[in-house]
Amino acid sequence: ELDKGLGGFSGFLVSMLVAFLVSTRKIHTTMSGYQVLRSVLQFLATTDLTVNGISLCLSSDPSLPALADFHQAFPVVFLDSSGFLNLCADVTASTYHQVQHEARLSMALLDSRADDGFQLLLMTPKPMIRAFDHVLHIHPLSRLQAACHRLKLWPELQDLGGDYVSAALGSLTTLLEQGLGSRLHLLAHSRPPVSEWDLSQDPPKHRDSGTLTLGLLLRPEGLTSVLELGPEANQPEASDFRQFWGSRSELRRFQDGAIREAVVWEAGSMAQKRLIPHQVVTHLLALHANIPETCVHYVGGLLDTLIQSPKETSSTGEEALAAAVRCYDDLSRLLWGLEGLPLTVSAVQGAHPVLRYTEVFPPTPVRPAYSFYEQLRERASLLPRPDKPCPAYVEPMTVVCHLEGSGQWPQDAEAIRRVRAAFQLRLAELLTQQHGLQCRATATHTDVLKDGFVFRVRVAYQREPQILREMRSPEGMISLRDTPASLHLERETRHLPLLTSALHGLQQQHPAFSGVARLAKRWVRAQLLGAGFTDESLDLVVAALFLHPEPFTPPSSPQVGFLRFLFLVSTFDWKNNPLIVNLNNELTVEEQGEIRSGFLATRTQLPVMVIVTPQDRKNSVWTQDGPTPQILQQLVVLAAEALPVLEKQLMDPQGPGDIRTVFRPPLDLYDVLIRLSPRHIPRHRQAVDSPAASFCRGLLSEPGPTSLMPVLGYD
Amino acid sequence: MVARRRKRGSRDPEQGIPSPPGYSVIPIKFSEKQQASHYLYVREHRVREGTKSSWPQKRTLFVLNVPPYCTEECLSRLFSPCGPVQSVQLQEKPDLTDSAEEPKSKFFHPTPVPGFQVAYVVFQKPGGVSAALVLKGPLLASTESHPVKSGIHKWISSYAASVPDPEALRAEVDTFMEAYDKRIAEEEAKAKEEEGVPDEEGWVKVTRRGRRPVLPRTEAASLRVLDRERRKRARKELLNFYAWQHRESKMEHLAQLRKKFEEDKQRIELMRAQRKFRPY
Repeated sequence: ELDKGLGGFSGFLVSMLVAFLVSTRKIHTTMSGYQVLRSVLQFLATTDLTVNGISLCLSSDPSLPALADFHQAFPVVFLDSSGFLNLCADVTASTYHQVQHEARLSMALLDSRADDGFQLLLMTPKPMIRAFDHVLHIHPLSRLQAACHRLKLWPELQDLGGDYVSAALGSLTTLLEQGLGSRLHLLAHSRPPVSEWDLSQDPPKHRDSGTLTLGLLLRPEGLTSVLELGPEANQPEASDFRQFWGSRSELRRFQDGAIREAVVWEAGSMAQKRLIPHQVVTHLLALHANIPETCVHYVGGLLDTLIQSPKETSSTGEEALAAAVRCYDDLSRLLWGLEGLPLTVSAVQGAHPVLRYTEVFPPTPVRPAYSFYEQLRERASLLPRPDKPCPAYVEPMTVVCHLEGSGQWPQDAEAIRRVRAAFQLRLAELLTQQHGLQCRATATHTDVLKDGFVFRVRVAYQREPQILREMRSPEGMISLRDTPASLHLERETRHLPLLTSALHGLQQQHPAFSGVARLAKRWVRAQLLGAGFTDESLDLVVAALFLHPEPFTPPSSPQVGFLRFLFLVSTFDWKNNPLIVNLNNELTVEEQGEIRSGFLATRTQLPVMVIVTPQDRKNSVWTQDGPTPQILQQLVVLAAEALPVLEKQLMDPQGPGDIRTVFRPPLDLYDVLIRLSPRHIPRHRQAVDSPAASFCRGLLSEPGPTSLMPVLGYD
Repeated sequence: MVARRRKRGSRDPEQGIPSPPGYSVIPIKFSEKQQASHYLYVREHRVREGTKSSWPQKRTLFVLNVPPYCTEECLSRLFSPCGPVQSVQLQEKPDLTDSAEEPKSKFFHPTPVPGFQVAYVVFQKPGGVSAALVLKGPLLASTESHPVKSGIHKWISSYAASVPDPEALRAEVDTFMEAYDKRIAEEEAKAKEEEGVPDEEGWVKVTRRGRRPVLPRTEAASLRVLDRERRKRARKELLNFYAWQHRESKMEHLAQLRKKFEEDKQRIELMRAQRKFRPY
């Protein structure tokens, strides 16, 4: 959308640019369209017209004004063939930087020889709300007049004929860029449309030309810094720093003994740290440009309320997830060091959404109130009581434990199950004796209660899927065929832990992955389609947004990631293309081509939604019994409807209204609605519209040690 | 009209309930309060000539459409007015053999979520079967004296049942493994003593323990052997010697070209259909 509005980089400028390149012999007449495009993009990406302007004028008449004069008056200089007119007079520096940024991204895309580069490059719309992490609207534009006066921009006002919007833009953008510093990758602004009016009427006033929207593209590294460091107190730059930051800059003493000016922002949790640019922008605008906070509408954290836990509103759950993962690390260390098992533990891998940071409602440490439950004394467990409301839902986190290899395992499937049960029992005994943890063992898993979190440990034997696959033909020949039991086992013990660790790694690289995945899953489940999709398939779709973000950059905030998720789901051609998620960059371009041709050949045997990862290239195991065509179609239609609604809400300068509209499912499609009594719904508080009152579910609020196993998985 | 009635003879004329031909219908309700009832379809258990069935012929009642809240004790209680009941067996699908394996371990084979099932009721006397066939009246699965748990109570009791008992589990595992180990040891001993001993026709079984190396009997191994044979044969045969071989290879080549052309045409059709950029 770069070419719209006043001061946009329009098609005329691009044609002039091509003419310039032809005149400097960079483009020959024999070049094809693609080569012309490529050289234009390369030129835009590499040269900087704010420093070295270019000119179409060939004569070197000394009466012509020099380029340096033009640079003093205008930010971007591109002269026409007369030498007197700057074609880019209305183009601001930030618009030009945006053009350069897009050109660089496009060059990278063309170089990477991606398969649908044309589609991505030239046919994907990039509206501001979807391209930029945080967006802010400045609404009553009449405030900008006061801002111009405050910033002493009278020469610019005169130049532009009283258009205070354009006059203020330049200095506002430089102000904000200086303030945001290293947090910011790119700042861009919207341009008011060029309006037409009748001859007999007056031209429309500047304040009626819509709102001014600024988009911020943030660097993920700068998200966590709470501090802005300034120069040392005795240097002359310190006074500039103080004057820039006003009352917020303080003298602080640091660890290395230096006394520096610094600005500290209060931010407790990760969600608040993401909103530090909001604080920066409002402070600077109020201080320097006299624009009060009520005129600035910041759209960056509006969707955060949907991934907050029902009780605490200051964080969006990242800290809770991190606490759960720390507890899991402790448990795995205990398991590694466990003595007394006949075979030692060789690997402990997580296999639950919590351990890959994508669980929508992260678990909190539980401490059950004993009066609420019945107790089963001899098994040290709690049971729900029929007269009380349903107890709180505690979900155990699955952990797969591999033992060292040994030839002593039996070769019969039933015998392997019994041996595994014996291992589970022994594990429970050892954990209780050596570390005092409350355990409960069954034939297939052992539940371990540690620090208020419950883990479900499964012992796995690597050769078991192979043994399940063996079938004896009547002649006595052994053949290997995939049975449902062997596929299920392989998925649980081999593929799921690998996927979990790959996504864990992805989360470390892109911290916003967790927020986007949780929002996306919340939306799918709120639309009552959660039963059709496995958790893992949704996580992989979100991972595709981060691994193949072309033509965007990877998202740094949950909001923009969610919008891109809706766009991907609604526009991806599931019937004719597999979604290739290149975890850890393991697939080369040739392999991807092979996968695509293999996909076309076997399309009828594959499920409706095909997701390919480096670990499973042919079968799409996560969507095997996954969405039926009707459910997938319903999801696509819902996403296509939800996206424009949500974007309109977010771009509305008056405030977004009810952001939860998109999360409420349409109920008039269904013939029968069964209403459940809230007394027996353990997850009642997790509804999209949180209820005013709910029932006490038998948990005490302060954490502490418990000695009985709580009610697990009871819903 | 009478003829039409007879053709649709599967209708039970009294209540107008459809049932499969040859079955009689007995309504069954969960308790007094319900208005609608499920229907059990009963028939005397009959098999074709020659097929074996382990259910005693004259005394067995075959019941279809048993609802999930009806357990074996419940069924035996309901059919006891017809005659003394010897045994009841509930199964997923009608199965002729009474698969009396060792009772499935409740730890290792948890009962699946029940749907509608099929029952074989064995009476002690054949009179019970005929009395059951004319049984009328809605049967009540859950009365005051024998209530069937449902709802919250059922879920709580199934959760309580799922909490495992480690001692029982350990005992079962130990007994199984002892039996298994004994069986494996016996098989080993038997195999060892039959080593190299010819059977009644003079054949000696080739096993892994013999002096000559032997291939494992898997499909992969046999495929490997066949593949090797094929390659050896292909090396030896002459491919371009006879005139008919020339002719055939040319025709095959042409057919392949034609097939590839068709495939490419289809692929291009698909690509054209998928094209999203249509500027005109």
